[in-house]
Amino acid sequence: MGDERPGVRITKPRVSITAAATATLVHQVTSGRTAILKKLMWYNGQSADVILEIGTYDGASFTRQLPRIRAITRQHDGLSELECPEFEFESDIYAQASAAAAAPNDVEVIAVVTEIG
Amino acid sequence: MAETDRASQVAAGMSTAAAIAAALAWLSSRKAEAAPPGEITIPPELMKLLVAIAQSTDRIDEDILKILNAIATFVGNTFSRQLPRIKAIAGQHDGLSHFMCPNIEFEADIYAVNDRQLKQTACLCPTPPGAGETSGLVDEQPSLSKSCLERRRRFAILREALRSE
Repeated sequence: MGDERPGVRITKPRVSITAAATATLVHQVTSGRTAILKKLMWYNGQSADVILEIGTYDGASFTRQLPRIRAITRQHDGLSELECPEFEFESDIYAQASAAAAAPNDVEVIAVVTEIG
Repeated sequence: MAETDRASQVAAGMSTAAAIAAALAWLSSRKAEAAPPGEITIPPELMKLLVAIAQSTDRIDEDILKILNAIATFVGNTFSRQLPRIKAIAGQHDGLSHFMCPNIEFEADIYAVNDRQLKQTACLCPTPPGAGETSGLVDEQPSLSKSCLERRRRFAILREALRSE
């Protein structure tokens, strides 16, 4: 990850969140640039709804940048490019879920980002 | 001398059978998804199988090549999911709009899988539906994905090939 072409929309690999409240890297921002989140899609493999959070992580604490997302049990959903807040991340983008476990009970996330700078 | 050779062959054959059994057990228990590039490891069960086969044959190069070809074919049939799973609701249509759909650039053919027998949560590793298969369902063994059956079929072929040696 990282070293993306600036200004070009990049779809990141699908990420599997397998542990509760554990920040999971979605996109590593290239040094000297920022990244704008353009789209987001997820699937909740848990047997109950979970809260999905998108934010930054400094190695110790997770900082939520978007409003919390309620991911409905065993359903997919997403934020289209019309809906997704184009938050400009100055550090790596992480996701974490209130509950998660190993596949198939994981929470999956895929993001589309554009780096600028 | 001949009896000694025969005994060693029988021992090697038994070792091979045990190794095949261990490899099959590993395969049937594995939730297979393609490993990310650069992260592949050879499981000990398969390594034991290769060693056992090598010990039981006089044509190591040829037989190992057969195995590698079988593995290459097997890998070629592994389904690697690129998007998060999608819940398709009964009796309804739905879709990902241009605005919603992740813009994934596929470097290989694109397949879709309906794995209803495993419920909507467990799209493990099915292979593309074959000729005449419209639903992708596995009626005979509902607890197994198609690829597990395909894998078993391939290893059965491999096993028969070894027996015929």
